[in-house]
Amino acid sequence: MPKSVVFKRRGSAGEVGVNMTPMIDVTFQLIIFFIIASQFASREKSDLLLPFPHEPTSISDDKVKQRRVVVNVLSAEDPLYRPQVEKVRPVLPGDVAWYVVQGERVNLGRSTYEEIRRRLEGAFAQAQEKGLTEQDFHVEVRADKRVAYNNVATVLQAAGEAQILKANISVRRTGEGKD
Amino acid sequence: MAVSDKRIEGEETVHYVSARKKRERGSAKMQPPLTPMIDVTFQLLLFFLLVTRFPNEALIPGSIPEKGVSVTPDPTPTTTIDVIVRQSGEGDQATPEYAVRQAFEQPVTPASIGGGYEAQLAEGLYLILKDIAASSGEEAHVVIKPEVDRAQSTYVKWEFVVNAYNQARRAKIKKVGFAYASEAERGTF
Repeated sequence: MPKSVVFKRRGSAGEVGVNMTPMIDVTFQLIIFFIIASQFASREKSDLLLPFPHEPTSISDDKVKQRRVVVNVLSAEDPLYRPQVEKVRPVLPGDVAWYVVQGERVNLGRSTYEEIRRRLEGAFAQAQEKGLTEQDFHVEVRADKRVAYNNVATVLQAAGEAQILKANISVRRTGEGKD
Repeated sequence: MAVSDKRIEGEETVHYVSARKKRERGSAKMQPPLTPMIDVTFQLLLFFLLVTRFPNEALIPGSIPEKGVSVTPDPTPTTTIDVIVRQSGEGDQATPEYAVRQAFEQPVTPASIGGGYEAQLAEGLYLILKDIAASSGEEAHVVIKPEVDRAQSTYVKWEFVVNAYNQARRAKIKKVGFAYASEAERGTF
């Protein structure tokens, strides 16, 4: 009796070894995920003009390894925010438009100081839950260079009352990386 | 008649290879699909072009006194230095003035600078502070005091205050602090 032979058909010449379609789909998913994730990360830094001191003694952002809470102080004189402020009150030189703490806006009003302090305390408490101390945590003060000092002093004082010891001041820097 | 593609040198004879054997040997080599690969490469390139940001921000480190109240001068009077920051003009025309005073209204031992201890440029302030740091060493305690007068609505821009703080750090003074506005002066709201 002849042995039954199994004929194996090889693939014909034009067929692709690896199916590319799911690969492309996954790539698109990854791209979309990273775009959205990077947008969340940059939301806490508002658009403003940072001060640029003479011969800055600043250090690079990524050299500071501590956790942080970012407080933005926006100038009412900035054309981005001025129209909104002018609807509510006249804009004087040095005025603040509003504060942004951890990406959330704090409007000006009677309870602004308490609100800033509350948010700073909350951020610090969250860090402490993860085991951080005052040495590992800082407030990043990103104030527009045009705002009056006493508006920024508010933030520093609130940070002090929230028991946050370290405050770093954000400044602009040139592209050469001098510091 | 199917002919073998192997030619052995010197041999005249052509060896016969069946069609099936030819198929089993495998078809001609094919390339990996290039078109989708190029598409994916362009997608990745575009993504990184859009997402890459070169950092143009830096941080000047600082610290806050624990209680968050006005910086009190050092008990030893001779080592507290006030850097008073004033501003003349407003908005884009504003110019700073820096005056260095020792607490308790005694002038600082004059630095060997022509103008003494007032400066209008940051560099001048730096030179004054550098001299102070050289003479006082580790004990110099500098307080940056922006002059705020609510009655006359004078104010000082944040950039001048940061500049003064920066020059103090540049002069390697270890203890630099900010004088806070008092409770009544806090903020313009």
